[in-house]
Amino acid sequence: MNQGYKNIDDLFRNEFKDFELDPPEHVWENVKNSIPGSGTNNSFYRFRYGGIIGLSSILILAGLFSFMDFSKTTDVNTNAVTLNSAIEVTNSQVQEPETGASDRENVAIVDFTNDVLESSEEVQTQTVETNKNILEIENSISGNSDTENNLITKNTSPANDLNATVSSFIPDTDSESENEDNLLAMADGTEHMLVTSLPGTHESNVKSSEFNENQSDGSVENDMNPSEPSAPEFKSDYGKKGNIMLGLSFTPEITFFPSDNKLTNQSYSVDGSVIYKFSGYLLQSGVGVQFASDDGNYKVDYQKFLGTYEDVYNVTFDTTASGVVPVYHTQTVEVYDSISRVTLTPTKNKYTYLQIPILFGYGEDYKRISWFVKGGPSVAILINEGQPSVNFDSGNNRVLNYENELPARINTNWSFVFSAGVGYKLGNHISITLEPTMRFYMKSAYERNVVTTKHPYSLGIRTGLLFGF
Amino acid sequence: MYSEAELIGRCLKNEPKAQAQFYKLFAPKMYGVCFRFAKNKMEADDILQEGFIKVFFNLKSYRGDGALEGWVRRTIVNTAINYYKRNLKYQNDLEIEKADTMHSADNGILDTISVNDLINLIHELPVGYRMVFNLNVIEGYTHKEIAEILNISENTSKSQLSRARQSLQAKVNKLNTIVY
Repeated sequence: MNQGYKNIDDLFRNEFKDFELDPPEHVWENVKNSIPGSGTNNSFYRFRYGGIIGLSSILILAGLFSFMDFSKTTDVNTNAVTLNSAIEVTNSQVQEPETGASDRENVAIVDFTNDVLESSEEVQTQTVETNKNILEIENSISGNSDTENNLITKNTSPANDLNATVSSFIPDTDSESENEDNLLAMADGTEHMLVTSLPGTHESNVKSSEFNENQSDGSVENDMNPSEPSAPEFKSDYGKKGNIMLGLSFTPEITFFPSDNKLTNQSYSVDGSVIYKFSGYLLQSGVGVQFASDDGNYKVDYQKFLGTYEDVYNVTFDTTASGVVPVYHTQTVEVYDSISRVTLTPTKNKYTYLQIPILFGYGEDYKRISWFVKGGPSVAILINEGQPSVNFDSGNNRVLNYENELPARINTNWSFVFSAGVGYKLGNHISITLEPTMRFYMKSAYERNVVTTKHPYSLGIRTGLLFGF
Repeated sequence: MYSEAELIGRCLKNEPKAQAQFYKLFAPKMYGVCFRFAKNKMEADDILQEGFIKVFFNLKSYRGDGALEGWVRRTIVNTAINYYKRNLKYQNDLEIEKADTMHSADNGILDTISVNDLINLIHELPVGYRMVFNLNVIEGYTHKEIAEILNISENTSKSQLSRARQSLQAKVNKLNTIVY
């Protein structure tokens, strides 16, 4: 019976010793689609759809902010038209011949420009001439607009803004009719000028207020040539040539793996970026280095050392005088337990990635504060991988095998980055930024999770400095 | 064609050409292994696919101590074992039929049986018997190892092997009757 079993065993063993079968083609197709290198991995398609969604989001946001900006401009235009209407009324009243009402209005106008006129009585008796003086004085005030935006006066009354605004719209002319015509012409052109001046308004205000503080004696200085036309020069960011900023940032990040919470890990990255700003939009790229690590275990298979014995591997016989003497040739043989044991030893794998993002976004500046949103694809390339050797003192035991339980990381991974942040100007050319960032990975950073619909994502806070030029 | 060392190196660099060559080199033999462990062709396909994905991902852990084929084979066998364990709760072993005869078969007769016949015989075995028979007789695992791997006692492993042998012996004899 035993012989029969032996034959059965031999039969199967011999037949299956070199048994081969051609596997179906689809197996290799599935295998290569699941491993890095051969397969398409559908990452291109995922990236494509992710990119479309991301880009669409950015464009929608940018469009939304543009629309909000337009609404704000319309409100200002409405105010401007109302203001110009008031100016027209005032001028028409000024042109009326020596009436009490006209005089009172002129006095009011002169009051608006107090500290400028020397005598209100002179104005009361010379209505037309006063009107000219008003224009001249106001033009002389607006002459300072060459340095900054026409809002230069010590007047602290609420009418100051109105006064300054009026002065900025009044051209240098000696003629009443020309003055009126110009006012009307300016009124026609107001919308354009206000629209174009909007983005730089806060900046101008800051500078003008600084200027006013310098006027300690309350007088309005005008070192400009009075005869020189004082056509207002509006500074605007709109449509102007883009500027470039350089950034240096540090980003701590936590990466979450929905498919396996144990893989959640932290990383740090340092990057240098170049940002090109044009009309509120921004385009950013750069190079960063990310440092990540994984905590895990080595699984060590070993066999316990039990002892040794002397194995006789050869016997020779020496013929001596006393007869034939056997000589035993031995070797020491170590004996191990046939049952293998498993132990876990902790280890930490370290990875260094090179990151290259291309981000597109939109942002606005308000005095010292600015905000921005941006997003785009980013590629991370594994440039260094550090796997410490197993830290296991086997002693006399025999290590059969050790295996790092941590899954290997893939070499290249694409992600989509979205961030929204704020900046604060520390100086004319330097800003500090704080930028919460979300990164959505196209596929797992680990090789073992090749078939998953749960994509990893990371949350981080990017802080850095921006240097403007 | 790359040498074995070069092939491993290139596979570790994820070179598609090397990966394809690696697969072509080992897949037929490993598919044979899978086919023995599996219940049918579909299961064999699944085990081979899962096994080779593991092979490629864990190739860096191959230290070159033994033959590469042996390492790949061990990975494939482990995959088959895991596959068996995963699907254990869905298995419904049939009572093995008693051996019709305990007589040994003639060696000359055994030589006439084709490998396909043997595959069919193995596929007819209950899954537990098939696992033990494959692991012990073909792969050379001891009963202790089988007991640890399959979470069964050594005696269970021995008895299952014994019954598997009886069953196969009976089937071979039947086959022999049909042949002659």
